[in-house]
Amino acid sequence: MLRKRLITVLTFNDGVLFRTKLFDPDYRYTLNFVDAWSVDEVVILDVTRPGKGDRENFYQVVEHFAKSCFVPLAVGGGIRDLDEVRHLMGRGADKVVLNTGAIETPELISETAKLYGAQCVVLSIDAKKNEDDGYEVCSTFGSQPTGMSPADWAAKGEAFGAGEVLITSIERDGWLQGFDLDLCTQVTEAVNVPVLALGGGGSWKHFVEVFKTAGVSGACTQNIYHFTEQSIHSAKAFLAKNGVDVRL
Amino acid sequence: MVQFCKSCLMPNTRPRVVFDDDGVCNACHNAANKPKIDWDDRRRQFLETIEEQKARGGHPDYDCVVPWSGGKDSSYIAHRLKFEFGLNPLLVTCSPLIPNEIAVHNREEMLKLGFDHLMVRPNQRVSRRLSKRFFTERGNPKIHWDAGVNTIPVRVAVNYKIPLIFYAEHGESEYGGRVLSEDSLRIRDFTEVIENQIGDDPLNWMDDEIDERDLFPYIYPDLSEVEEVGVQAMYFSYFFRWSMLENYEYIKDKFDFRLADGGRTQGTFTNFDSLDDKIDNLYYYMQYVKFGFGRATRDACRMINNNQLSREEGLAHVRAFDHEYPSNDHAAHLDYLDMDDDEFHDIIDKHRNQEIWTFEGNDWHLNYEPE
Repeated sequence: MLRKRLITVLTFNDGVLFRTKLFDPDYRYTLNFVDAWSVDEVVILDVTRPGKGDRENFYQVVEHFAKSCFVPLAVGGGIRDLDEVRHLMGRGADKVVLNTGAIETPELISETAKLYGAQCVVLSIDAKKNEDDGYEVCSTFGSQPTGMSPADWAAKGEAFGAGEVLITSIERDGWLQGFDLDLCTQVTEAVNVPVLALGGGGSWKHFVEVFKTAGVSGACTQNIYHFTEQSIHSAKAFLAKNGVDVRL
Repeated sequence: MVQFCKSCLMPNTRPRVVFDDDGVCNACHNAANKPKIDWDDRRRQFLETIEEQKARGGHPDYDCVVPWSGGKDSSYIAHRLKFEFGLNPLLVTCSPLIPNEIAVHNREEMLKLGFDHLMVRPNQRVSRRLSKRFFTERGNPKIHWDAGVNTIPVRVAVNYKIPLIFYAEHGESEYGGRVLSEDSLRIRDFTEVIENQIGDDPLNWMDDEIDERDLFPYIYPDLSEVEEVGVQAMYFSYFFRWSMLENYEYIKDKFDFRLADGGRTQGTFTNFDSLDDKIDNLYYYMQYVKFGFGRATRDACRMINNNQLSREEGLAHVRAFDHEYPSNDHAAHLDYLDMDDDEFHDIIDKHRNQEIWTFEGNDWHLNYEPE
């Protein structure tokens, strides 16, 4: 049985670390206190809106983490073709995170998996509740409804060769009220690959909850205050005490 | 890319502030909207709220809780509630981290006018440890105080069964931020407040030396307890037009309200605001380090918003004082944080963002400044 992972997700707006709320970057933070050794994985995402920044600033962030990060580094945001995948892997990414690019061109998943292996492809799915009390996948910073259900799209993505699925609740982004357990459960039940949950993790209790009831392999935090060494230590101690098998 | 509000001087580095397409911040829009508000109607709503609360029953002697620092804003509210509206508020203070003489004096003078007061001073072993951690990790030594100032008045309201709390102003609309609903301007939404001011769950602050019991002053009461008493927390600024300067002018001759020594507070041009905690100077200085705007910008914007200062005058204050280091309380800061000078300055510099600062010629320079 693989250990459960605690994952830090960092969002960058034109190369600057920002907190996001409801997918809008709204709070700057420094990189100097981000723990990159005791957490189990780091995901960095470029959330710069088109035309609002210089992509090179993000590439420099990737290089910074590639040098200083001792855990797997997944990189995403704005990946639309294989050239960009190659470029990010060349800059030091261990995995790529595909979202809108995979919706537009699902073959991007299989092509990337063929080139680097399925373990290097994370399919990221942003979902929100629809009128029928189900969930709908949205693309392009969560703004464009696609008509697909997250469970169906996750299963399709797995068939295309994704090695992991990252499921994000758009409505819970930046809130501290807990993960969307229904959404996470629907996705874990639809695929065999590891599922990572993002959106709403506030108290360490929420992290225990999402591991135990939604069956995810990794719980992600995007809270800027959870990224420090002390916070990660405190979170893992709490998880271990509550019966979640984590790397201490 | 840092931009400054074209109407006041606030940069978009202020957390959560919203700029429109013309480059004007939401605090300016909020201020521009104030003359359009029917304040007579708001006053009626206030009186109705009071009557409704009285009809609901509650504490036989106290009509409401007022979270109170002894400063101009909370004293203004408490004074009006008691002497203009005939209510008996219970004043509740979350103790400053590093109390100073001005605040002790001002609180005592106000109490002489006839108020009951409760002050909670949390465990200082825990408080100092948290201050050091949060100064280091978040560039803000009073995150836990923000939690305490939010939870302690509610805890008192629940324990005393006083179903009404009057908070001062809604910061997100008054000073710039994200307004999640219209009703949040009137009724305090604690979820919003905790997410914005504290940023994570205080229960997460346990470590090798701090356990759950140590964090009690910072933990919000159980929602079922709050609902049982029916505690409602309102913003005074919804019912009566809010102005920092006018609050000061109201309170200054009600009692011997002492001001900052030397005519102004370090880092700004005002002498009447945020005087009650020696840690505040450091808090505002760290705001300057993290976001590139200091205490003078903060004060100037509040006054520009209310037509009490021109943008040009404000700009002159910003240029003169924003960068000023709060040296007067430096020794007290080092003592409270249990740090030496080198460690302290090293941490300050770690909070400088390359988007905002450049190190050149042996000193730090802002990359963007208002014009």
